Amino acid sequence: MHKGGRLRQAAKAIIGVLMLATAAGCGGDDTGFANRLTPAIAADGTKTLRYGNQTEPGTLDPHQASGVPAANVLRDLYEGLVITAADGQVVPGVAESWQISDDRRTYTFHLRSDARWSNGAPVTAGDFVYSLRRAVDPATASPYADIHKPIENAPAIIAGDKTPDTLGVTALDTHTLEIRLAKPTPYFLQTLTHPSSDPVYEPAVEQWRDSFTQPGHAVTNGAYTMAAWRVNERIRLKRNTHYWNNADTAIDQVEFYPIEDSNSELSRYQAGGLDWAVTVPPADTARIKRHIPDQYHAVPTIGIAYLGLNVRRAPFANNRKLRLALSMALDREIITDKILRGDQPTLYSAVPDSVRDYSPVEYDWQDWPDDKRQARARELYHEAGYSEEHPLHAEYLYPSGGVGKTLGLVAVAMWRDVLGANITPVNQEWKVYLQTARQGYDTQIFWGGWIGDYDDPNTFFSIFNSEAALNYTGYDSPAFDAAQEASSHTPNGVKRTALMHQAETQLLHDAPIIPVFVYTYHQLVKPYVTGYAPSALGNYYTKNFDIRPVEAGR
Amino acid sequence: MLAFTLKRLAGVVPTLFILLTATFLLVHLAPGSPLDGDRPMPAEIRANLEAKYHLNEPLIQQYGRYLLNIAQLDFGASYQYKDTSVNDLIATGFPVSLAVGGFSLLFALVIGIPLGIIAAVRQNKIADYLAMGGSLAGISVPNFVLGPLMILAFAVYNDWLPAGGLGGWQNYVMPVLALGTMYLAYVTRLMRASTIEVLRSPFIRTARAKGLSEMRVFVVHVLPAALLPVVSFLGPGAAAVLTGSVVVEQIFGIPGLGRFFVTAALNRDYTLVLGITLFYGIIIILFNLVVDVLYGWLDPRVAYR
Amino acid sequence: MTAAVWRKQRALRAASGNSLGRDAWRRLAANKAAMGSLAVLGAITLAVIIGPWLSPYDYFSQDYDAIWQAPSLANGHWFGTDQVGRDLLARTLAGGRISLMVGIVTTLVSLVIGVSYGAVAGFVGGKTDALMMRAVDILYSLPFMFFVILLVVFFGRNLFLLFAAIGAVSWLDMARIVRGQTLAIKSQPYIEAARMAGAGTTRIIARHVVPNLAGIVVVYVTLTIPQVILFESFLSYLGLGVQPPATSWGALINDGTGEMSIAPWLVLIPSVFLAVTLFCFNFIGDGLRDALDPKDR
Repeated sequence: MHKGGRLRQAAKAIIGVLMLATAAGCGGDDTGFANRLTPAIAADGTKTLRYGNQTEPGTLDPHQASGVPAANVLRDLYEGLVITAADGQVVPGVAESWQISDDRRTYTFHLRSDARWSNGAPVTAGDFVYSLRRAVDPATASPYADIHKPIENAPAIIAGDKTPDTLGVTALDTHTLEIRLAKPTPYFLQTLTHPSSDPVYEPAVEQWRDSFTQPGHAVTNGAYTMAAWRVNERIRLKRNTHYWNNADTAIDQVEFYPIEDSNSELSRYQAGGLDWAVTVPPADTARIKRHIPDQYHAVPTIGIAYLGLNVRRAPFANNRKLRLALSMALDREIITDKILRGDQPTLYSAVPDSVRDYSPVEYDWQDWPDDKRQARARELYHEAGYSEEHPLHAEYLYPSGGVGKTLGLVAVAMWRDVLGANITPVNQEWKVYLQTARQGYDTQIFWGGWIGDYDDPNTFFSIFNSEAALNYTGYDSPAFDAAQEASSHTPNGVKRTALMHQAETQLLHDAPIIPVFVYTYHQLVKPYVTGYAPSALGNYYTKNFDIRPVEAGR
Repeated sequence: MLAFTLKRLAGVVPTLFILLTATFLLVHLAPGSPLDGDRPMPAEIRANLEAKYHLNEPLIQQYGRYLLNIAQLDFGASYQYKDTSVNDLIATGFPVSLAVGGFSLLFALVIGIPLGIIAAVRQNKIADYLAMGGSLAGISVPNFVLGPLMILAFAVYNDWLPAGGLGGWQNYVMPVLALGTMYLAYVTRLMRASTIEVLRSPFIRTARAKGLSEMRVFVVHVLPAALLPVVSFLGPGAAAVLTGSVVVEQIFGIPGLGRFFVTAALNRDYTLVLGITLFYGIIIILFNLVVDVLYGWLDPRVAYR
Repeated sequence: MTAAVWRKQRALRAASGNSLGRDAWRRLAANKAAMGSLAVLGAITLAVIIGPWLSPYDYFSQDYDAIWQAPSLANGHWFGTDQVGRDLLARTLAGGRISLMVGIVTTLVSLVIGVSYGAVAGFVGGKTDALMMRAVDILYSLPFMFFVILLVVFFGRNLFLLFAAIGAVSWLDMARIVRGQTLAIKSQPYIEAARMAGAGTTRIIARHVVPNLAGIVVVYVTLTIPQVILFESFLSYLGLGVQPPATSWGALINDGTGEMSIAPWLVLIPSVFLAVTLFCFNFIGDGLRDALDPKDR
């Protein structure tokens, strides 16, 4: 045998091994879908619920934390004045009840007398005074301090013009708390469900400073308290035996695993190492829906995915028709049904339908047949001054990795096919992208997304205020600003809805953004977990869940 | 050799100083700040945060502050993991990477060296082709493909090994294989090439001519000289593998240093990046020192002139 | 000049003389594995160069009705399609252009810099060696990611930068290995002989040290090629390198990994191309080594 023959043989052998490995791995669609049901119930009956939690929380200090993974842990550790029910409604937390004054500016909370910290100390109104002051104190430098701006003097304290003790929060007695607002704010209670409104235990904070969140140091008032924290491996919580409703809490331990890679997370879920996964790889959705439909939950959240158009510079400055043409050229159904495949609702408005008690204004062309919509898009494109001979050239900026890339590829293809526009995708590493988008000197079209801070349309409108930090588009409309600002201080009702509709109509008309789809949480929850109910806010409390043993042989 | 070692150790401090300064400049010049996030902050809150982390000071002042901390062996607080210090993060991450990397290296050496030798001795025979084919396959299947494949095969479709995380020794099997395969391929290839090379060289002919037994020639003369390139490769190679591979750690959910480093870099966690870089630099320098000492020991022909 | 030294010098000159190139080529041509590999590699190169023109599909056109189609002759997608219905054959060929270029150019960069740097450091020794190697240590430890990000920020994105960036890191290992071998070679009798014959440092390195490194260098080069091809996809992630919809084998393999369960061909086919290329380079490398080895004469 000569060497060439051996070479071919060797090559064949390698290909064979590769194929075998892949075949063994993928198993094919018909050979079944491995999914072990192994709830973590120890011999002594200790029940542990194991969550996938995407990324490691940077901090578990409620006033410094940001991001969904941290919020997931904080909901089990701390309990605010109010919390949310599965349907998003604000329900009592530490506060048993509350009254709102007639001018809608004073909130009086009555705290439950049996609320306890994990060391047994009572949770008092003073704890909330300390915590809310801490949240707005410039020395704390909370990234979410601005969520408290409705409270009297908060903006001045954040800016360093007043001291934190001037904050409009007073302990009337041990169990009565008064919060005064600068102006009526219809969504104020919703902001109190945010982790940034959680109480922290003053003696622990003062003693341990930055490490007060660590196991052994942490004193919490939620259903659970810290047991162990190994960064990038897991966070383990244990039952807070002093929690006021400890008797009704079934799960003894909670584990949060930071698993960024959705394929890895799925593997661990299938192998039985997780009871709850928070991501589903788009490629596997179809398989999952076929094999374990009852474990798959797609829950549209209060978040929007959009493409931003920088209205400060060419070609989108003063060219509403061009912006609208790009928006109309996109076939959102194809994007959600064929590309993303995660049951994301399409989006034709600025506020997603998932926000409570609000029906968004939507583009009327959303129901048009494709050719009519595309024809109108082309018409606008021509009216904007572009044509086949003189096509639009622009760049689409997106962060590396993630859905911005897929979406961009499809959008660019659609713009080319429908309009003949020549858009170049440009990716940047995440932090570079954030800086480029924030500065807005170089951007033209960019990937954007926003998950609301609280369950109210204002969290979406306020980001397009000309003063807002997230207004990467440079959108500046006095009419929109006026309607948005007025609506944020008008009590809920017909008048407020009208103002919000006015703001949204203006925004859609001016089209600084191309809304694409509604962010959708994907959960895989094992069937032995009981008490699960989908939450648009993604606010799950482990105290509401239980796990049942699974009979042998499933 | 002792004088040589001491001289080299004296050079460590200036080397690290240059490394630290260059890294400090690199990370601070790179666009994006640790404060940038999904949710941008209003200007006044950003200002508060910048003040808190001294990011509003001139760069030279920040550098001075940092050096002062380093002098006290304090790498500072992490920007990303605010509740933990960089020292603690390195102290928890390194042992894990060390374990995975150490076993991978062991795996690569224990199998790779004999395999390379066999391939060289049986050059162009079937054993050689098998060893080379296997090692080339090992290089052409990157670990980000091999890892998920192994998970599917051994953890999902068969319940043989855990799919990820830390726990018992079982948790280390797949990461070690995924990480070690590439190094195994390197070691095998290098070992084979250098053994062939050494076997042909004049001093081996001399040794044979002296009438030494084939075994003795091999163990005393061929093996040490043939190990030379493997040792050269292992200087930086071992430092890299022992300080963690982000891909493998990511896939198997292992809290090692490699993952910390990449997360830190992506988040512009200046202090953590600097801390790990410095730590890595120390290890590289130490390993290369060991390598240089090993050269002289393995091959008397190596002379430091 | 004594007769003995004169003879040695003449022998050395003959060994490194003009006939070297022709001799080597003759030996290489006799090596069937190397020639076969050269042919396969040539075919792949030709395919990636002219293939995209012949293919009925281009690498960027999307077909939403043909998403994740398995490879089949019937539907015209011989290699199947990807997540947005693009033809994998067209993409593999288009990606091959980038990957082969990256593989070859950056490997040459690392070869030239690494070998000369390592040989000089090892041969000159002493303080020079110490300084040069500490410089390598520093470069090795620097967080490369930031270097790449800054490159993109200051110079924008282009292919030359990509080569420069990959070349900048890939020579470090080579330099260390070459230096290690040089340390061993420099005390060999033939180097002593050349030195005695009055050859200068540069000449000795070029004529006597480097050729004797060939065996290890060739192997290391073949090990470097797949690494840089895969590394390229990481640089693309950082904003250097190729941008979608353009692609490379590294990017295809990387993207395909996430879709392994539903479309295994997406990772399998580019992997096979990478592996075959690697085998070819390997056999060519071995052949070259044998052909060039001065000790064989």
